[in-house]
Amino acid sequence: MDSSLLTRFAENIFWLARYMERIENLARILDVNETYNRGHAGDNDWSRIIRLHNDEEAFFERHDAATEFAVISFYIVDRKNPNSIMSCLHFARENARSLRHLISTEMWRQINTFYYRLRGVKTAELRQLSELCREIKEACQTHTGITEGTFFRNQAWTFYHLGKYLERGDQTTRLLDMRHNMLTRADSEDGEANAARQLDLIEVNTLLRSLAGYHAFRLVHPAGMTAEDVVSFLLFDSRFSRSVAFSFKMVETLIDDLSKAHNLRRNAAIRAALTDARYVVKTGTVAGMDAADLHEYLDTLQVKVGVLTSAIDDTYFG
Amino acid sequence: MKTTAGKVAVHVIYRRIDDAFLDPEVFNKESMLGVPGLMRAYRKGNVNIANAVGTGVADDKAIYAYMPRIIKYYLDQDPILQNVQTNICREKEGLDYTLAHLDELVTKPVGESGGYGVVIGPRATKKELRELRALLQKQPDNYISQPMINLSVTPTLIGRAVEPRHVDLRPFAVTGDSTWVLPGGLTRVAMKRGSLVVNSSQGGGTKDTWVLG
Repeated sequence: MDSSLLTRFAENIFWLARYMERIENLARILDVNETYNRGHAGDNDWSRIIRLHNDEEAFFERHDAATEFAVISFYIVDRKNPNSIMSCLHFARENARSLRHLISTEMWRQINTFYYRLRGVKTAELRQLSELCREIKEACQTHTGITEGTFFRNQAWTFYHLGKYLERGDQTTRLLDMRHNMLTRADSEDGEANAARQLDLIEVNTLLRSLAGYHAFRLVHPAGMTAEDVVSFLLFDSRFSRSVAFSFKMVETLIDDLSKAHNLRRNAAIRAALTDARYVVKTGTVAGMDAADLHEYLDTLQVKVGVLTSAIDDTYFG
Repeated sequence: MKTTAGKVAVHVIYRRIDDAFLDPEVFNKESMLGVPGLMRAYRKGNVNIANAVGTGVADDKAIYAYMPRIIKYYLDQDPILQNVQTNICREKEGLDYTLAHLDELVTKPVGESGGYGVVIGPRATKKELRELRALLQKQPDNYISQPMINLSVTPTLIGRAVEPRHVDLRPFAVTGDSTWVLPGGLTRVAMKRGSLVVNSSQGGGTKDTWVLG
């Protein structure tokens, strides 16, 4: 058994992982949104990213319209927006700074370099969004790789990964909820069905790619793509590393790790919450759901994730 | 101490809070800084406080001035490390000297810390010196004075340029049956150009300390 870990360090490492995961996710969402906006006139809708984060109030306080550039600035460089990549990176770095005795030198150095790179980002670079997002994603993936390769496997490592997978599961349910309407359109049989289906394909594609899941999906479904299959894949396929099922599976392994490897056995409330959340995933099925059903289902799932997070918070960080 | 395995008892506390704010149950009841119940635990012997209540006496800058005399009196020895020349204003000789050389000396209130109330004579305005003179005459035992020490400077990154900044070194020693000196120390740096105030409470920073040989 390793020596004990101060509560605040456990919480900091948990949040370091969450912020890094959040940054990667946001970069992907922005990138995919741009790719699909380009070349699809009439669907140039940047406001949905604002809706996804419930940022309407904060955004329109400072901007008149959800133009491409305003939204991109708001989510990449705006330090007044606590959900921006720059803000998340700032918080990640502040956490990392307090953890320098626990994380590897390489981890700190890379986060610090990443931070200064992004702080110096030029306006012109914001207009080359795809390029910039690729760089941000790669910096996050570099972080993941360095962490895998250098982070000592102690309690801090476990709390880091708990944060990472909880954030991942949370992001996937939010992203799905943002697009729950596509289920209805796929099923509609009225005169506009054809046009709607066209639009759905774009939506479904965007969603998959936002979660870096296109190729993974194709391994399971080599031909064809329906909204139902995609939603099902993102929720339930535990082989896909951004599915909700995968996140829960990882959280379970990590909780086992806490009690077995680190002798932290106060996990009753966490296990109860996790069992509850996993039950919703295990018994869930997309077949026969319409948009309202899906929204309600995702809502339930989000509440369960919230309870699980609170249980971890109360047990270990409170 | 809150850990992931639950609360763990600590044995020794090194405190950075003045006596008056240490425990609202015993001292200043308004204190939000202190730990309620700390003195109860201390009395029971459940925890030790490395700088015990009352040791603030040693923080009084006048004590420093008396150190050579204390060593002579108690040990009948001469100090190995020499003091900086320190004029004790509660003594007539020290006060007269200080008043006569106010613009050359650094004058410090004895009960303050963090660099507060310090007047650096060569850098003070005439008005500041006038005010200081009045304070000294009114309450001489609250002050000591010392010659201005020329602190070293070290290259310091300021924005995108390297500029000289003043530094001082705090060594640490632990004395018990024998005395142990930490092979290192705290190097404090004044971040403002030309400033000699290195105290962290006034924006001072720290530098790595290298011990060679």
